[in-house]
Amino acid sequence: MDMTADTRIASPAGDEADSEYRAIARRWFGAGSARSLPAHEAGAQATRQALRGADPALLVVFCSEPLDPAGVLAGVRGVAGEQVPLIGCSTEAVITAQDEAQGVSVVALGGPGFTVRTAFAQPVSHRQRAAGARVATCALDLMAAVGAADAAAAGGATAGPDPSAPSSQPHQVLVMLTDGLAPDHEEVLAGAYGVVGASVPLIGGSASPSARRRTFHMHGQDVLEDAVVGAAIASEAPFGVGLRHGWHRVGEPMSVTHSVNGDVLTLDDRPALRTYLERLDAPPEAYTDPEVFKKFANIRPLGVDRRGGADVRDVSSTKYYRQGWLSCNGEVPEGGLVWLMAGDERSVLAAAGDAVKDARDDLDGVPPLGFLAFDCASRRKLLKESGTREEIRLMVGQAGEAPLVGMYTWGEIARTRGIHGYHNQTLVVLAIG
Amino acid sequence: MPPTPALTAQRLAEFLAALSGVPDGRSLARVAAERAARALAAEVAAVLAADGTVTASVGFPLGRVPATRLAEVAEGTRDEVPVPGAGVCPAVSVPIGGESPGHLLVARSSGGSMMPGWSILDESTMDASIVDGRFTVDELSLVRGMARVLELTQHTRLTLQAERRQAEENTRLLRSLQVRQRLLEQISAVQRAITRRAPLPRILDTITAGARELLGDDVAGLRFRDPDDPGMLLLVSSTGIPEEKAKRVWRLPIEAGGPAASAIERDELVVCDNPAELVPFASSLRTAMAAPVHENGAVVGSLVVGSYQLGRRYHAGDRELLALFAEQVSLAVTDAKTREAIVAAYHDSLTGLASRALFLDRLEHRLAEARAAGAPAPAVLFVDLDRFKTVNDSLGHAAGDLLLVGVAGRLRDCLGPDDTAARVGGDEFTVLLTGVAGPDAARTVASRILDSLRAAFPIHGGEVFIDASIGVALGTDPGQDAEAVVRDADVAMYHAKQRRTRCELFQPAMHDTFVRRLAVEANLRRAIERGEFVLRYQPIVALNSVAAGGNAVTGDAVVGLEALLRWQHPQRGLLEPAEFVPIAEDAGLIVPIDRWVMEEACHRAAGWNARRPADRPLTITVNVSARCLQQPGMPGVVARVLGESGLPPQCLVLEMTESLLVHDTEATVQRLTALRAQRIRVAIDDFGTGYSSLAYLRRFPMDIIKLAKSFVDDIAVDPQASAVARAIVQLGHLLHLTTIAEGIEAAEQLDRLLESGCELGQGYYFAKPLDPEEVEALLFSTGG
Repeated sequence: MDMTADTRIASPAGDEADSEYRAIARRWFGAGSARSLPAHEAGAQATRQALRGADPALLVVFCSEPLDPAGVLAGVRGVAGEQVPLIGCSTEAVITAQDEAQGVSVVALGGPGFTVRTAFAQPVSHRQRAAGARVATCALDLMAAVGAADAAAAGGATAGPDPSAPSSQPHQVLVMLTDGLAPDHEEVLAGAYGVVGASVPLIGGSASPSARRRTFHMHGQDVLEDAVVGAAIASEAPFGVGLRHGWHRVGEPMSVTHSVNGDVLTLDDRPALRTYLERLDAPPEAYTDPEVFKKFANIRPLGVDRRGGADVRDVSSTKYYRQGWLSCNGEVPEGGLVWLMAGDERSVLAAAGDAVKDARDDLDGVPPLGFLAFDCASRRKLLKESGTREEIRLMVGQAGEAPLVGMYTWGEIARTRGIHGYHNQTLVVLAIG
Repeated sequence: MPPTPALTAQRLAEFLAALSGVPDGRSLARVAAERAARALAAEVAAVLAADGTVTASVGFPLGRVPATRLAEVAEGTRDEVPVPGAGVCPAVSVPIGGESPGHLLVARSSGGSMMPGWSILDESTMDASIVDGRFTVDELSLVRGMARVLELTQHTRLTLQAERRQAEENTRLLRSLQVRQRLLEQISAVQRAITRRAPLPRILDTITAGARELLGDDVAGLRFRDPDDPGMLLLVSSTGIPEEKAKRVWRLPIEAGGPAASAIERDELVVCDNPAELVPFASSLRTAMAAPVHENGAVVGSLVVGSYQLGRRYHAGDRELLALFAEQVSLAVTDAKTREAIVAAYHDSLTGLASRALFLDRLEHRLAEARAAGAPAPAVLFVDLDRFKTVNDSLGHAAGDLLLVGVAGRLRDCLGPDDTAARVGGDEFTVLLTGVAGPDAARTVASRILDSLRAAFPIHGGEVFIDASIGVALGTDPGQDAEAVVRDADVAMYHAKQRRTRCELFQPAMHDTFVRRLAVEANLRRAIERGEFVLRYQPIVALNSVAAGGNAVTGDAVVGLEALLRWQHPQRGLLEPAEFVPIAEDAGLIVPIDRWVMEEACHRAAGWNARRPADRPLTITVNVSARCLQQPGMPGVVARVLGESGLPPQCLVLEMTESLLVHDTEATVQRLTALRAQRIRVAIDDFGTGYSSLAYLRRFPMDIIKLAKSFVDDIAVDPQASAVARAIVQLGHLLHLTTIAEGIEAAEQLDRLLESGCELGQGYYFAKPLDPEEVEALLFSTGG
């Protein structure tokens, strides 16, 4: 059998209708989902579908239904066993090829050429930087483990790692799932960057609340709240990252004359919220009705000036509406410039397929085993149900035969170059080669 | 899109805003590195110190910062660094000036766009540098700007820190000044109290309260060694200690003295934070500090402060403060003692009158002033109390002290404001009169004093009467010093006492008399040593055993002998008692003389009785002086003499005058009772001539009354005298007292006495006072 060709292999479960899978002879990536089942059974079923080969290296669980996450986790463990590294979190909707927003999705990858280390930090609130640093240590552990394995393979069991020697798994990524209800995500990323630096791309997103209107995370055997979890993956094949949002700058920039992290108090020395609405010629109700404002601002983000572009910031939060401030997850640096960002359904949809394509292209010709997608929940609101289905169709179309699974997030993480890595209203796609 | 200079300014503004909120220098470098990386969308940024060490960096994995490579970029020898995950990155470094010089370094990956996918939408805004990663001129300008902002921020932070430190220092200084101001006020208050001679307790309370206030502690106390028992400590001042507690711990053994005792024993400041040791003072004290207190360099106590507060620590400043207050206590105590010493040196502690030293000093000044101004000389009165010793011995020393205080007060009342009264001896006073015109004016004052002293002194619920003798001397002799004037007044006083004139003005002749007296005194002392005293014995006869019409006395008629003292003066011959006994009494020599008389007489009598029939022993009568009778041990002495001589006590008769019985009656009765208990007999001489009171015949234990010679002299010629003599004899019979008539010199007197029933008699009619040989001849040659 040609190990590198796309070869459809019959699922061991014989269930080709409910799962997509793709397995290369040795390395594999599988995805499974379940809907309208009890928690344990949902976890079990989705896991059975995801496990498409031997030696699973990592399980990633997304849960959107109002199910007991402990029950789901137990169901997953009941099928996968206790030892497989596992991370997961809540989401308001899952992304699957079956276009099922609600349910439990399980992603699994395994086979030779993968090394995984996971970590968690809890609590996150009031210690975001430390939490991010704590989680990022699994990437250091990963580097050490890979180095030790390489040294052992090269020089025997007693040989030490040789930094100058080429690594058997030179491609690494740190997948982070933060808590969308916790503030200051940029601090979490800053903490992680302080540990790993530019050595490892950071990919992931912030957990959004499930139907239970709360967020949770999974790590190992545990369900956690107010936490951040991470999985550092080393691979012999490359990873690819795609990031698109579909917004563009319009008009003249405004000066951020007073801000505190993600809370913007004044723009151009005037109350931020009023200035923002005036610039957009907002309807009068937006000035007085927070729900009208929220709906209005949801599709009118701000863009923070960055080198070569702008970081998108969703300012539809009504946290400080009555104070007349704008608020978002993600830094809006005082003294900097912000732009009004414009976009529509067309540009947002176009970004979806482009993001997957960018991730695929980033594999430098290596066939993808699968895709993980982290899509901003505000894009789902903008696109609505029909638009969302179209978005997924475009994404899956670009994914080809490789499974694509993901979650809707309240903030996206993608750091591949430079220091910045936190995004809003953006689609981030990780391609696993 | 704004032009790039505006972007640079915007980025700098972001950078400045981010650094402005950083609280400390350590975080400043880290934030600067992060913000620099963000501003330039770089993977790596670092702040290096002047020596090339990395102060802070971002973009390298933990523990894998290539410090050497970064230092080379800072030196300018390298313009790129390998960055794990980003490849070899172009790097730029700019110097940072100011107080913390160094470098700001940024390294950014090259190739490809900053954000995948943006190039499609933002081509029009994309710099070429985005493609190759090299830093543009504007970006270099931005890095320089950030370095400058970092420098300024560091400078501002350091300046603010310095200002904060200065402000803290100013606050500390202000607080210190306030404390010192309060300290100064407290010390000044103490000094004022000392200077104004405030009572020592008040001064000590001021110090204790001040120490507690300034140290901010809960209790303060001052402990001194008990002068009567150095093993005990007294709480002489306290504040913050409940009154009941203070009373309970007022006196503690030094072993239980805690830090107060430690400070005293070690003579150094001590701190105690063992609550168990502090329980005696206040049960909840957590810690205490004590400093020694000195008086003229010797440790006498300690000043203690204590706190109930947990964690109270006594720092160097607190210790200095307590030591300072302890020093104030030392000064106050030493000053008080010095004053006491000064006062004691110049004033009599009992009466408050001037001391002899002060009196002489003032007299010298007055003499000099008068002589220089040609003014009348000052006068000196020497006042000696009569019978003070009797009062002192009979009523006790406390009563004697009260009497002296009363005398001092009356002296002051008699004097003018410029006069001075002094106590120069036990019952001797001197008065300095200034502005007196002459001796008469001085006499007038002396009379006033005498009259004042004659009034009753209320002592212990009773009344005491005394008298005085005053000598007056004027300092008219320009060659005399103060001592000489006082000596003259003393001589005049002695003269007054001898002559019982109460007040005498000094005459030079008195000096001669006084000198003679002093000579007699000196000779008397030597007479005792040389044995110049002799006894003469006058026979006492049974009157009915004398042959009628005759005066021949046989030994059988002699029933007793009265021992009479004589002084065989080497120059002046045999002297009668009247010539030396008063001097002996004044000189305090009479007691040993009396004792010698008693010993000699008892031995003689015992010897003679040994040669007589045992059923007819002789009695020996010995005259007892007032001074001798007043000796508390007198009965014991008499008993010893009897024991040593072998004379039976019933053969001894102690003769005393009536006047002796008037003073110190209780003690006199006790002694007489003790003597008679030894079967010694007591005779009253010159009965009926003195302070005779029939009441004391009942009160005082006596055996013999001696009819005075004055009654015997007229018994034969004066019927009244005869009647009185008979009455006395019969009184004696009624009271079972033996009567002895004295001074019988004629037969007619003998007859009258026999008629009146008088049993015994003595006088020249029978025999003159005989020397021992003559006594022996009388007793044994006639068959006695």
